[in-house]
Amino acid sequence: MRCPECGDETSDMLTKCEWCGSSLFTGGGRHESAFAGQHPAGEDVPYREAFEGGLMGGGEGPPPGDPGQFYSGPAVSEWSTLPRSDQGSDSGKPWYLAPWIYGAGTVVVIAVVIVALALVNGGGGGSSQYSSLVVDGRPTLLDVYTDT
Amino acid sequence: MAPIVDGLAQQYQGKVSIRKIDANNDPAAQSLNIQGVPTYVFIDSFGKVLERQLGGDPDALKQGFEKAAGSH
Repeated sequence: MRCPECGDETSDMLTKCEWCGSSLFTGGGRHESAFAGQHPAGEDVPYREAFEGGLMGGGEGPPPGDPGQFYSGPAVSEWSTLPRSDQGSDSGKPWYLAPWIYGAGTVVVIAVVIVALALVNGGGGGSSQYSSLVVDGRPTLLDVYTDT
Repeated sequence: MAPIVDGLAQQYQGKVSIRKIDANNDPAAQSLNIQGVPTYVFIDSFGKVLERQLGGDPDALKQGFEKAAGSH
């Protein structure tokens, strides 16, 4: 809109001219408010009063009714109010990146290596199990016979 | 087979020892899981089985002695 004082274009959203600072609703009666008698020039009209008085125009604003519903704070998206547990896993990481997976894998690998070494070095089913049959600490032939 | 075994034992004396095990009375026979007689089991100086033979094959016996003598 154009300021009645300085004539420059200024924002419609302001009550005062952003260039000269003069009130946009004083003088000239160009924007004579329906609430001019209730509020001094330059003073904002409360929303509730404006709605009840029809200043905001029919159909554009919320319908008249409970004054408490005119303004209930900024609209809040339901997504921003979800509990944190509903927004995904921990820190958004997939399960296979969890630290305990790597710990368990390491334990399994170590266990497999230990078992393999035990089988190679000491196990093998039968190796060294006849040490008590060795004669004179030398390789021995066990000659199994029968009298019958 | 006894003469053959005795001859090989003489040939490899000091390298391979002989232990005779009665399949019916020696408890060692149980641990050897004997399937029949005669059975020859070659073990190294640590008791590890090198070779197991069932029946009397002079050539196999000689190879067994060679293998045992070459082990530690």
